[in-house]
Amino acid sequence: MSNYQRQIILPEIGESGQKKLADARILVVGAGGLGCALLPYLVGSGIGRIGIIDGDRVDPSNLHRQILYTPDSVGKYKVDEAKQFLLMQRPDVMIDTYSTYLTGLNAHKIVEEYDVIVDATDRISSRYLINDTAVLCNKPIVYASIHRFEGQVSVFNYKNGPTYRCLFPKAAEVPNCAEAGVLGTCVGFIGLIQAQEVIKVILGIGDVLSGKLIMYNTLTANQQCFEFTKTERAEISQDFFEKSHMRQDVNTAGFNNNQPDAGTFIDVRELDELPRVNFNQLIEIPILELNQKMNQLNKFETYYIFCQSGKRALSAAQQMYDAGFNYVTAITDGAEVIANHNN
Amino acid sequence: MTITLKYFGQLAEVFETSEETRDLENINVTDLIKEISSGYDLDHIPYQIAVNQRIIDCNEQVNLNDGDTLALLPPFAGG
Repeated sequence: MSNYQRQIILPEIGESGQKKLADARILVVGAGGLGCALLPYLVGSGIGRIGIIDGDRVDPSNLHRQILYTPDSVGKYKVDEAKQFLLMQRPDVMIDTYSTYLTGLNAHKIVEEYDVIVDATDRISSRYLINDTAVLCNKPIVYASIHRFEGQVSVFNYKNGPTYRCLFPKAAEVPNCAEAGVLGTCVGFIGLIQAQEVIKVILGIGDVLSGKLIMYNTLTANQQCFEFTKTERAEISQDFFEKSHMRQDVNTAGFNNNQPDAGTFIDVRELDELPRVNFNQLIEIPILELNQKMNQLNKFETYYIFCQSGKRALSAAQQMYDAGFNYVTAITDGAEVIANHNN
Repeated sequence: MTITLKYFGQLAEVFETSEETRDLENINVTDLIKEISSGYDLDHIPYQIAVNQRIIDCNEQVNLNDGDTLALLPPFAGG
């Protein structure tokens, strides 16, 4: 008898529904509380291929709610530990792991490999990135998020339906689980509502939560559904994507006196631009020579890039970030300000 | 007229309640939001407004009727 016999006998699923599950490719962005709750059930349902992306390693503070991990997992990549668990559960499932964060630079390439994108992240900026990528790649998104004992669930970009930007047009960071606190049962519960929406989307059964936001309070067991519609203001183009996500990976900061002790400064101005700035750890590389001289720099060192106005610094920092330098900050102040602080 | 107000997430924490009712003279959504938020710093909390479970456009002028329910819905980040 098939492992899936008990769900195949459901009239809404049947052999044809089970084949849809086997053929489905799902990307789960975030292997935290929501991801750990929904992954074993998606695997259990017979979904054929699951991608998991998360650059985090397991921390002891994760273990009370991220139930795929054990004390032995601490310090290891979440995606590797999750994969190990899920393959024990179902050896024939195909699991792709990405031990990195989704960024404006890698998002398209990863997202286009899958049919449904599951937003199980814990930052508002990641939620906009997932939304915008999935819209451009024409993939539905199953969304859930948590604030303390409350959860939200919705489905975006489903059959050209409204998106996350239609629901929440104003971007601003709000507290995540690490900042606000969270109970494992709450995030697990919301994660399973999310998993159920994934299965509904794959099978095309029931009323998918497109244009509907479920708000669930796990302390009062009160559930409310709010309706929203597609707005024209939230149109997402390739150009909009690049402006919103391609440059945000680079850190920017004003100059402060702690920076000279924390890393190396790179002056990307031409050598005759004044005023000149002096630091113990300072390299002068005019921006046009940066590409050629970058291989003399260490990708794991901290660099602060500055120029006359901040513009070239941003562009240079982006170039270095694209080349794999992770600890680059573009200084938004110009050389004049830096020289004054310095003297 | 009586309006029911529902608050979620951080807004329920700021207002120290998840639901209240207010008796008001004729009022639209914009003025009601001004009234309930005066004395609170809500600048750092983004939220959407729903009237009778339907999320409205923030530029929309919506008049309220007796018995209406207004909900203030912030995005959550955690996961």
